Amino acid sequence: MALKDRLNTLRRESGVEPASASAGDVASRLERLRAGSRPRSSAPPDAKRPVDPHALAAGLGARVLGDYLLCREVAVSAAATEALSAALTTAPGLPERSEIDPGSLLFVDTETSGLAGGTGTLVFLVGLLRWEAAGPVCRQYLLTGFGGEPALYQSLSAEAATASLVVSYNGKSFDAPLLRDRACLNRQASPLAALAHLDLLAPMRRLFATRWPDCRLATAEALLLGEHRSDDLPGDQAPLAWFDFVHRGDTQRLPGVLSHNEQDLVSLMRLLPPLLGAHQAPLAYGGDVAATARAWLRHGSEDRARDLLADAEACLADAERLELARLARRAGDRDTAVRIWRALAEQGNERAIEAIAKHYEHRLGDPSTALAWARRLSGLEAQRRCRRLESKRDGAMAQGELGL
Amino acid sequence: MASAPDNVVSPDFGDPVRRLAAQLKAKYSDRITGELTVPGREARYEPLPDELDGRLKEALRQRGLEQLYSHQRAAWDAIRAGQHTVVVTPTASGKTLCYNLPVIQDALETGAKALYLFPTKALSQDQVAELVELNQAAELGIRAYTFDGDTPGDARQAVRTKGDIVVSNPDMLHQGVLPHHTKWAQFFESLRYVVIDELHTYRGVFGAHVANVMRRLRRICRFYGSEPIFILSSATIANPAELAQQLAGDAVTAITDSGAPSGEKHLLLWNPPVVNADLGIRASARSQATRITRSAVARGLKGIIFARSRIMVEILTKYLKDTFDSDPRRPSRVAAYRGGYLPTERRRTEQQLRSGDVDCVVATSALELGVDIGALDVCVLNGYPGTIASTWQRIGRAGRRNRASLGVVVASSQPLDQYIVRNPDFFTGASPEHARIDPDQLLILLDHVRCAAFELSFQRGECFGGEPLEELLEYLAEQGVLHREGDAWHWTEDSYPANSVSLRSVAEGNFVVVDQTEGGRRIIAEVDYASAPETLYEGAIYLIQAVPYQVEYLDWDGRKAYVRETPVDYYTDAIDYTRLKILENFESETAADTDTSRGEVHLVRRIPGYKKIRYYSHENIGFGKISLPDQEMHTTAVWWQVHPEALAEAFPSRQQALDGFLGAAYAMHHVAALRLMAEPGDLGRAVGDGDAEWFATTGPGGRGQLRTLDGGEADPEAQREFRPAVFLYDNYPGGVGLSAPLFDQRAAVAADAYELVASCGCEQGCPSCVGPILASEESRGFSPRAAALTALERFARDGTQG
Ligand SMILES: [Zn+2]
Repeated sequence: MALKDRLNTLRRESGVEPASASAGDVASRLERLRAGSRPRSSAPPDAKRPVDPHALAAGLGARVLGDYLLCREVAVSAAATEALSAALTTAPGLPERSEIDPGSLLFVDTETSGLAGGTGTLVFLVGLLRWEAAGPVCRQYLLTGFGGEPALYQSLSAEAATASLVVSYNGKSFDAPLLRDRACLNRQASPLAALAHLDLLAPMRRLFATRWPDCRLATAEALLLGEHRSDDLPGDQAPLAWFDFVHRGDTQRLPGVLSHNEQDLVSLMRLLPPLLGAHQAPLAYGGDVAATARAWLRHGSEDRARDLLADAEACLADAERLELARLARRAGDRDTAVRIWRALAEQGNERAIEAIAKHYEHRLGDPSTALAWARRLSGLEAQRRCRRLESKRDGAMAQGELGL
Repeated sequence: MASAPDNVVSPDFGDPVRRLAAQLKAKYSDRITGELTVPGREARYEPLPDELDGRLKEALRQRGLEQLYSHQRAAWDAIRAGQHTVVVTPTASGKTLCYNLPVIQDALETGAKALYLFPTKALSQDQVAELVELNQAAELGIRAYTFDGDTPGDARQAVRTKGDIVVSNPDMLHQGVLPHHTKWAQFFESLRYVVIDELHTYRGVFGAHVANVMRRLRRICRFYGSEPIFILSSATIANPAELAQQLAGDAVTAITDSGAPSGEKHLLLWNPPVVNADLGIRASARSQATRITRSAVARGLKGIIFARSRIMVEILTKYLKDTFDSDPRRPSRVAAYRGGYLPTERRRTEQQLRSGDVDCVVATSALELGVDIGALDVCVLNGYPGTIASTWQRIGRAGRRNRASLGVVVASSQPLDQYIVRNPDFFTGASPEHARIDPDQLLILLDHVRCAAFELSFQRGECFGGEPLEELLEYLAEQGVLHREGDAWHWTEDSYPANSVSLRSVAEGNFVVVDQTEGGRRIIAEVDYASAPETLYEGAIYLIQAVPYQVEYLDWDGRKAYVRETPVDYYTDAIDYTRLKILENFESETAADTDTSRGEVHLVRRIPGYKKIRYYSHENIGFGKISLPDQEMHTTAVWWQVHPEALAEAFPSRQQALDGFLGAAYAMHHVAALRLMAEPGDLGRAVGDGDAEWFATTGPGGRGQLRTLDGGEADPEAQREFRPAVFLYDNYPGGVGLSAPLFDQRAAVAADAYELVASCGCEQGCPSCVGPILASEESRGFSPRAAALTALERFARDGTQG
């Protein structure tokens, strides 16, 4: 028996065939079938049509960069860059990146042959958006075959050499590692390794994870930009478009992938201004004040964290109000701190009671009032505190008597 | 125990272990079917190598080591000379130093890295603990980390970039490391040693997979310009170098002569007494094992009992505690040790054993390997562990340097156990166990070609395995899994292939067993597609660690069997209508009365129903119907036939011949599994004519029945031609390489089976020899055991002549 027949027989007998009919597979097979039923030129679905790279490039509005690499360049409306410039004048940065220089930004978004990760996942399209002298430009590098990878990574390295900050959406955990891995497979330098990386998913989650159903890019576009993409391509369609192309020479779905990628990049740039704004005034964007304040604090901007909390004091939870009190005290604004402690202590908040007892003991030198507060606390620590306050109070009274 | 006075036999009164052995032999000579004394051996030393790093010398000195055992030095010399090396030495002979020394030396000298692979996670943990200890002893600065499913995400980066020694297992390498090799680029660039411990466990399907994982590993190493040396260690098997070579992909130097000292070892093979000769029922192994252990502990000896299941550990522990731990005010003298206990609990028991605070531990194989528990005097095996290699490993847990130790193998009533205890030669002669793997099994190979293509595109001219690689690649390209561009094949599927390839099975059609006891949905087992129809039908009793679960619902398409723990006093036995058609005869041997052949067969199996059989009495207490699709399989088989004239001469009736062949097949199936170091389920057996015209099965009355293609019963006497054959086939689609060695050992298998049946204590036949006998002697008119012997005698006689 020929090897192929042996394999077919064995696979059927070992139960592989029905096993492969699981839900996910049926779905993707149906997708393929639907793709096959579209009007197609004379070629049968399984026959590979040779694709003329120049014709393909012309069709996509791109140019041929190498044997298996095209590059498509489109000018982007200047409105987005103007909005970003304007935003940066009032809000120069984010907690993780205090200053953002628009000229050094490299917005990056990739399309891949799958979401599984691992070395077998190919990055077949890398879209870049940057701010050049003539205005914002989107450049998309499209592989038309595996042989184009070395040239792709050389081009990316050249692009990266003139930028300093990568901006992406979930790129830190997805796009950047994939680019690094595929570059390594092709014995090329990792193209983005030398650049700092600002992944907008993290600040987006910080602001809205507790407010929105999810933080996908489409959700952010809808809720921050008020835009709904009508004719967009679902995420799992990009791999299929690429497979159609390599397996069958079917280029029909490539333009859709290119424009999807371009829109993602433009969205990234357009999302930056509201993201900057929301980090200054979370409430105005429906964002999470406490999480934002924590982020500023973590990155050393204590004043900004305090201001955010103070502005939103009325709608803070107890823990956040205590945090505000702590920050206020550290900044020397003891009045605000005591006001918050007293209010919370009267509601029985133990941490506030402890703070106010300490305030009376150490700051005001009033062990009696301190003791009155401390007695409302429970636990070993509190008992020790009470005993200490009692002896302090007694000592003070004795001194008072002596003084008489 | 009966009240024989303690001083009846005392050849060496001074040594309590010898005394116990002598007393057991004197008192229970009828139960001891074999004995063996391995004399003690002096240590043979060699000096530490001059070139050994001063810090390593210091670390060894701190552990009291001024010189090496001869085999450790031999390993050092071979490995330092750049040879792939396999070390075959007994338990507790210091084998870890064989690889730790050269690995650490090279790490100190050149920053070389090493990958250690252990078959289980527990062993990995112990190994890392030992490395850490050695490292701390002399502040070597060597970093050893485990990398497995439990390694937290944030620690993985450090393991990949900082680990000098990474300790993992084959499954993790297959699914978690190789498909992400670019993250490990630094590691692979400096990878100089691959250490594979417990080599003998890599056999059968698992071994074939692991050999392919090693092909992938070597391929990745080549990409990063490294060519690691393989260091392997194995328990005693017949062919360690051959197996090692299949994993290392190149010639391997074998070091088999241990220089470690050992005390005198006494081994007793113990068969429980027959309590019902008609049914061939013996006293339980459990009762005997408890009794032997009791007398050992009562004499102040330290002992360990190995049981085959977790539940048996609990039962034995209870019995022994009833004797020794009845006073709650005293500290416990008996401990249990098995999988499923918390690590802290297990560490505590290990500690108590080392310090001698516990007198007796009851354990599963969890305690078989690696784990340090100090020295014990007596080891009792409650049932044969399945392989001789593993029997020796377990018995090796008892034995101190200069003192005698005793091992007792107590047989259960299973055929393999019965066979083993009656053949002490297996323990004295060279190992009969050949660990066989077939890394080129087509489906397994195809799976790994897929995984390898995902990891790195294939270039024309590359080699991978023994089948034409380009054809495999083109096959995958036709399915759209790969895409050929110029001279390279690239991965073009939106998937992660390693996740759908389990190293424990052939192809991906496995069934999982889902336990819904207490409303849960816990996966408790995985069953190969091929054996699912006969084990997971609705109503089947599926045993896990001797605990009965009943299959309530079988989702055939979803590959799931839903079970529930059910206390029952019966087991189920599928009625198997397997008919075979011989497609091709690869090789044949014709002798005076018989033909033995090997070839390719097409097998159609129908499972129309099942029997419920009560434990102990083996009574048939009911039937159930099964409606499953017919299973088809192409595989390879060995078959034995008796020439028609000789057959007519040997058996007075065709009915007797049928019963004889069925009984012979049963016995041959079990002894063949032993010779091939396989599980009985890795082989299938059938009796038929080889043309798929008819096949034989044991009917409801226990009589052999001849059935035609449609399953209908036929009269053997009415057949025009009657040429029955015993088939033993490789029970995996395409075969996993079991039939070739089986054909090589055809004579031994027949002779072993004859021996098994001839020496059985039963009268008519029993589950220990020819299978359960349901029909009575009267209704049958002849002894099935005698009929089986008639057939086996001819196979065996011709085998020895040929
Ligand atoms: Zn018997």
